[in-house]
Amino acid sequence: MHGSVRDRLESLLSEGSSTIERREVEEHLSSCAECSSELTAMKTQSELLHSLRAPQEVEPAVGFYARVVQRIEERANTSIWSVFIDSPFGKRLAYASLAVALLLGTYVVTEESQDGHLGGRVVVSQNSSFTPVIGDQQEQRDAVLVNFASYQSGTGQ
Amino acid sequence: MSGLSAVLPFPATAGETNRAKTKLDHRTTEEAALVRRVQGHDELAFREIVERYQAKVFSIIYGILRNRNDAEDIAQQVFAKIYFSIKNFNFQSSLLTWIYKITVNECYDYLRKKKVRKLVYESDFSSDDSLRMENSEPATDQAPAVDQRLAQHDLVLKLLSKISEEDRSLILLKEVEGHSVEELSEMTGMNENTIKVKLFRARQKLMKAAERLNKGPLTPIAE
Repeated sequence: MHGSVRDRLESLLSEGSSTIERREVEEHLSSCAECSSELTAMKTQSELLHSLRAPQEVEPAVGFYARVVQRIEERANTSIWSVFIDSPFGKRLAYASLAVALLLGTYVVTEESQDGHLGGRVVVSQNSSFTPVIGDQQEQRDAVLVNFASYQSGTGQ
Repeated sequence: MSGLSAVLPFPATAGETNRAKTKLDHRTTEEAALVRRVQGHDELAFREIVERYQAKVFSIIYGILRNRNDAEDIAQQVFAKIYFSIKNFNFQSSLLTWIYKITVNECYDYLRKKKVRKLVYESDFSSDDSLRMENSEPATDQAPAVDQRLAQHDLVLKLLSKISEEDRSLILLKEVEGHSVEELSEMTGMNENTIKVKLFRARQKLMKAAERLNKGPLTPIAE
């Protein structure tokens, strides 16, 4: 749409343009098919939008303020969980959290089943200063304490 | 449609520049004083806001949904929202503009949640058109016109759902409420040139949305 029409579009659509303005626009439209068709389409669109005007004066029934106050009180007393239950964002957040929890759970279970049972044995075998737990009860207790005291994680010593 | 026109701003006139300098300060109006009272938890001030705007809000909702029960329910929701969020009102626009935006958004939230477009047809038909049809000419003459009007109403709602909340409010304030560009400038705090550019772009987006919906060229409403 050319500037001469575009600048006056709103007044043309609301029939608020002056006679001089209208004459100037009509002159342009007579020689510009693009502006002419676009203006026609916008006038049609404008008429369509008028269909959203309330057909007559409408007012709420008597006691509207009391009902608004009641609605406010209900909303003020709503539990924090209703934010998650009622709002679309809350629902999406809950679903996303559930999906993340499921993924993490699956990962942990998979890892456990692959090498979960080997963990303890690997740790002990890495400890080169491992003292065999043999002898009587006192010696066994000492050997366990020595193993704990000399244990170094993942060094292979 | 010219791509260039969607990018270039409108030239500002001398009159617009002057008006922009003397634009209404929404922080110093009588309405602003009322809002401050509500922000200070004055229940009477809130009641005054409800009583002042309830008919307006009700009409906006009824114009969109065409159902009194829904209008009542959403109007209550709108004023509850106003009550809880008025502390965030920043006086950049008029109170009516802010309320209008909340009202239209609530209507669209409702339509989105309930997916009631078909119910809108039925409620509209039952409330106004059925009475008119019963009391006048044979139904066969008017039914296509009513159907077409309802379908167009639905099309307009669908098209408006494709543009931003700001564009939607602005174009409805212009086309449905009948405000001039100058009035919109005062109400929103934007200059007239910006309003014109925004309206033009919104209209173009609506045209493109109509093309995408494969509805073909828009046709005028049947009387």
